[in-house]
Amino acid sequence: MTALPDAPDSRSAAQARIDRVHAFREELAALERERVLTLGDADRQRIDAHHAAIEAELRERFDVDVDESRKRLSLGMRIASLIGALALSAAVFFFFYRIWGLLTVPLQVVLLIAAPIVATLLAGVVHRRERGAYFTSLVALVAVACFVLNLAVMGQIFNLVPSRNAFLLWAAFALILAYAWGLKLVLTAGLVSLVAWLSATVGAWGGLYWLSFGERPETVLLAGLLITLPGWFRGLPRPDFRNVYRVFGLLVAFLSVLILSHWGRASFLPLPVSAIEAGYQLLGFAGSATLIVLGIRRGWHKLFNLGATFFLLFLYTKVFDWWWDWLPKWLFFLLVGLIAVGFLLVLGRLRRSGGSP
Amino acid sequence: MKIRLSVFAIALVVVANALVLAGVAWNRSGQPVSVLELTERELALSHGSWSNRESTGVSLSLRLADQDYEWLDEDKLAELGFDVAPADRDDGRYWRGQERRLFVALEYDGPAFKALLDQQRSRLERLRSELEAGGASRHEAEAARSGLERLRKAGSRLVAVDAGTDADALRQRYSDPDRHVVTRGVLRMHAIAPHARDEDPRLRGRVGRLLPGEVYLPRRFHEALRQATGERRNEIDAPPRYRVEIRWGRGQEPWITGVVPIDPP
Repeated sequence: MTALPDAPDSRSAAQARIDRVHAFREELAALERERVLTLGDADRQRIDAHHAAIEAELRERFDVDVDESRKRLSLGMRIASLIGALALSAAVFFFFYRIWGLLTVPLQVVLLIAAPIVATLLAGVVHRRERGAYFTSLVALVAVACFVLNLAVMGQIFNLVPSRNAFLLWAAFALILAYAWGLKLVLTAGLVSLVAWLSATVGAWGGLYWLSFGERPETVLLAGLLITLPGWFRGLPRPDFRNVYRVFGLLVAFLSVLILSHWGRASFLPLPVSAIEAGYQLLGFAGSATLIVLGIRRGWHKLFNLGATFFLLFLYTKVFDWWWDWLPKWLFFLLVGLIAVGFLLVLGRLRRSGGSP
Repeated sequence: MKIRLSVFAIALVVVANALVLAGVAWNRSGQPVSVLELTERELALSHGSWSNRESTGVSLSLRLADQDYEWLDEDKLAELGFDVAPADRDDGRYWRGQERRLFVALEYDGPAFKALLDQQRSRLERLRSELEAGGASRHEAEAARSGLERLRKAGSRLVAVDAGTDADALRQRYSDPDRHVVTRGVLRMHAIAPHARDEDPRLRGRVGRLLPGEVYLPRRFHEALRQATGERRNEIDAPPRYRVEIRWGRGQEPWITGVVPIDPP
């Protein structure tokens, strides 16, 4: 029998519930010390038993962290998982390139096809054995790397013309694994590939050779905005992925806007360079300010941080353009410091007026 | 649900590879569209082959002759779909869409290469006469002589002679399978600065790279190549050390079918 009729549907929701339980316990202890409220033994036992059942259930289902030290350990494990996945993927790449000249073509093909399949099966086995997602994430990312190696090397062996559709296949593979086992790291890898495919496709529609899509940041801007779409809709599978779509897509879009605000020549728009750069600067300021307000109103902490970071980046690059050459350095840095103080005051005011970040 | 999703991932790997292999089989099926016997002048050991300790694979780079692409002028570029009108930019000299993937017709050791040689010879003769008249430096004349000598002995004889958006139309125009190849390439447009201030810059194209630009050498040919090269890249002006039979299939993708060492002269 479950202790939670309205059970959380994701690890982040489960962790939020556990954090609320801990906050409640601490506040209750403070109220009792201050002699404001004292719970009767029966009520206390009922609440403690209920919370213990919730903790046990959520730990079992989502491997949530029930105290601060476990949270810190989880963060360490996530970092180790990322570094391990990158290192193991590099090891797979380098190992294959080290031996491929010694193998016949049929053997190369068999190994290249088998590698992502074996890694996917292994990730499935690991997932069944662990409650968290650290090792699954690591092995699934290696599976993605094996599939990248698979198609890239097949292209080399058979002298194929590079195709942007490889990025779509890599993205689809990574997204399937991410949705299968709830892996945000693998989802991010898939989104990187999807941004590359979308940008290359938009660039090809605009007459570019697809590998040159980086020369036109507007293709990447459009791809970033498209990536955010699943992040705004409720009711899609894996609700804890929504934040990844929003933050990753907007990060890509804002980076493109930042580049275009200083490199107007790269734009598709048939306007003078100065007008394009000014337009993208305005868009950058307006967009990041909107993100700050949205982050505060909706309690989306990561979007708030993204908006604040880009607002400052746009501001400081503009300040640099205007004043670096003709102001004495001490005065320039004084102004930069004063802008930071002004920004702090504005955020403090927003905070006092009820914004959660 | 979870099991079904990971099965989809495996199915994706299988289907993607099946499509790749089917494409390779289709490209190599039937009569090859072109069969050329190139040498090291056109297919040089690529950077990193054998010298890179991290990779044991060997591939050969397709090299085009050093040419000036007179035929790839503004009209031809416009015909190929390049936007040749200057974009409305602050300096008025900016062109958009400077790179396109198209089909390129290559000619091996034919009239186009002979024309290149003649052009270099005429230039050398002109510089020699100017040198005698005191109008050119000895260094310029010497550079032209060594350039001609290098082209004659060691330069690539593979010349890009035409480009288009339709591979079949190019194949009909350049139909000798032992001399012509139609392959994919990336063409780049660039502006050449005018001689006088009041002139507009001229637009010219060139083949930026061939697709694919490198051809993988299967293991069974390694020994022959090793015998010919001793695993070292050739000097820039040295004669070629091996011959390679290379075929292009109906999908414009090449593959190597033979490597034979050339006896040193």
